[in-house]
Amino acid sequence: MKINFKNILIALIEKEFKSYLRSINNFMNMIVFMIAIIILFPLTVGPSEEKLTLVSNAIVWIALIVSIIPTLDKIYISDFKNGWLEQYYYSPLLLEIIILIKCFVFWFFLIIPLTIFIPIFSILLNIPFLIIFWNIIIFAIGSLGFCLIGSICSSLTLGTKSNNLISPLLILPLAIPIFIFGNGVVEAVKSNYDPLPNLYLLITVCLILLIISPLISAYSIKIALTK
Amino acid sequence: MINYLANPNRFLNFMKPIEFSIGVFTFLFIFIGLYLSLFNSPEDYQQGDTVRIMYIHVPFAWFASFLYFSISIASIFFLIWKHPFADIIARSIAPLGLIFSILTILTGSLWGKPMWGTWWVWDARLTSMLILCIFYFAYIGISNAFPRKIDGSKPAAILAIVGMVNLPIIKFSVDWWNTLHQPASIIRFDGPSINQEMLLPLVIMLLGFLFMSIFIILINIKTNLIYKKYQSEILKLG
Repeated sequence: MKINFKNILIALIEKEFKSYLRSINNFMNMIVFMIAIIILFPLTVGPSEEKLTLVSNAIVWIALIVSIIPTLDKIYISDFKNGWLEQYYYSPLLLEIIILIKCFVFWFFLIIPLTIFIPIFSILLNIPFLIIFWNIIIFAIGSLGFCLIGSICSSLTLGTKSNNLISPLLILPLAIPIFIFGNGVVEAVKSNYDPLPNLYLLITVCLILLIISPLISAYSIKIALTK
Repeated sequence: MINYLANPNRFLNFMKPIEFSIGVFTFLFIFIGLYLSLFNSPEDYQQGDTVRIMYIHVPFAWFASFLYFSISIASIFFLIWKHPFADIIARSIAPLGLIFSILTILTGSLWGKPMWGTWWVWDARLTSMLILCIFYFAYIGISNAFPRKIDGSKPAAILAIVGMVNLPIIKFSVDWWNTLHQPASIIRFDGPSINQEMLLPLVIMLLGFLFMSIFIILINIKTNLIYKKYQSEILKLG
C-alpha cells in the first residue's frame, strides 16, 4: 500500500489547528494572565520612571514565560486521554516527526500570536523601539526552544497523578540557557555591542533541542503508552 | 562480578559482612578528619578560621555532583538492560544527593557571608549548583508522581540522563566564566595548588564522606527492597 505522506501531514496540521481553535479559552487565559502581570508590576515596584526602565524588559519576559508555562505541559495530555497518541504511535509516520509537527503547530498557532502583545506591553513600559524589535526576534526563536522543552516535560509527566507541581521544576532548569542568551542579546543591544554572538548561541541551543527533544519525547511517550 | 551482584539477595548477602566495617570506617575517617580540620590544620592567611568550612563544603559539593553522576549511570543501566535493581539503586541515591546539594548551598552561603559579604550571588558556579538541587527535586518528584510507583522509574531515568548536561557546567563554570567562586584547586592538570597541610584533612574528609554515602545508600537500598517485597506480597494477597 502506498502511503501519501503529504495528505497525512496536512490532515495532522489541520487537526491540531482545529483543536487549538476549539480550546481558544486556553489562549484567552494566557492573555488575561499576561495583562494581570503587566499591570501588577508597576503597582508593586512603584510607578517611578527610573525603577521601571531597569526592570521593564524583565517584566515583559516574565509575563510571557509565566503565562506560557501552564499550557506548555499540556501538549500531549488531551491526546493521551482521547487515545490519539496510540493512533499516532501505530501510524506509518514516525512518532518523532509527528511530535515535531505538533511542537511546530503549538508554537505557530499558540505562541507566535503572543508576539503581537510584546510591542503593546513594551510601549506601556516605555521600552525603546530597537529593543522591542530585538525582543520580538528573541521571543520568536526562544519560544520554539521553549516549546520543545515543554514537549519533553509534558511527555515525561504523562499519566501522573497531578503534573502541575513537577512541570515547572522540569521546565525551568532546562530552559535556563535560553534565558541567559536571550538576556545577553538585549544587554548587548542596550550597551551598543554586537548582539549577534549571543543570538547565534540562542539559535544553537534551539537547534540542539530541535534534534534531541523529539527523540526523548517519542521515547517517553512509548514508555507512557506501554504502562 | 556485576552480573553476580545484580541479584538483590546475593547483593545483600555479599554486603552484610562488609556493611559493619563501612560504618566503622565512616565514623573513624570523619572523626579524624574533623579533628584534623578543626584543630590541626593551618589558618588561611586571608580567610583565617573561616577556611575550615571548606573541609565540609568541598566534600558535600563533590559528592552532590558525584551522586548525581552515579544516578545517571544507574539510569543508563536501567534503560538499556531493564534491570529493576539499577532503578532501586538510583532511587536510593537520590534523597542523599538532594541533602548533599542543599547542604552544599547552605555551607557555601555561610562561608560566603564573611568572605564575599553576601549570602548569595547569581554566579555561574552557585546557579549551576542550585540547578543540580532542582534536578534532584525533579527526579524525586517525578519518580513518585505516578499512581503505581514502578511507572515513575523510566521517566525519572530519562530525566536523570537529561540532567547530566548540568554536571560539566558545574565543573567548568569557574573556568568558563569570571566568577566570585574560587577556581579549581585540587583536580588540575598541573597538580593540586592547595597547601599540603590543608590537603591531608580534606582527603580524609572526602574518604569519610565516601564511606558515609555508601553506608547510607546501602540502608536506603535495603529499605526500598523491603518495600518492594511488601508490595509484591500485597499483590499476591490480592
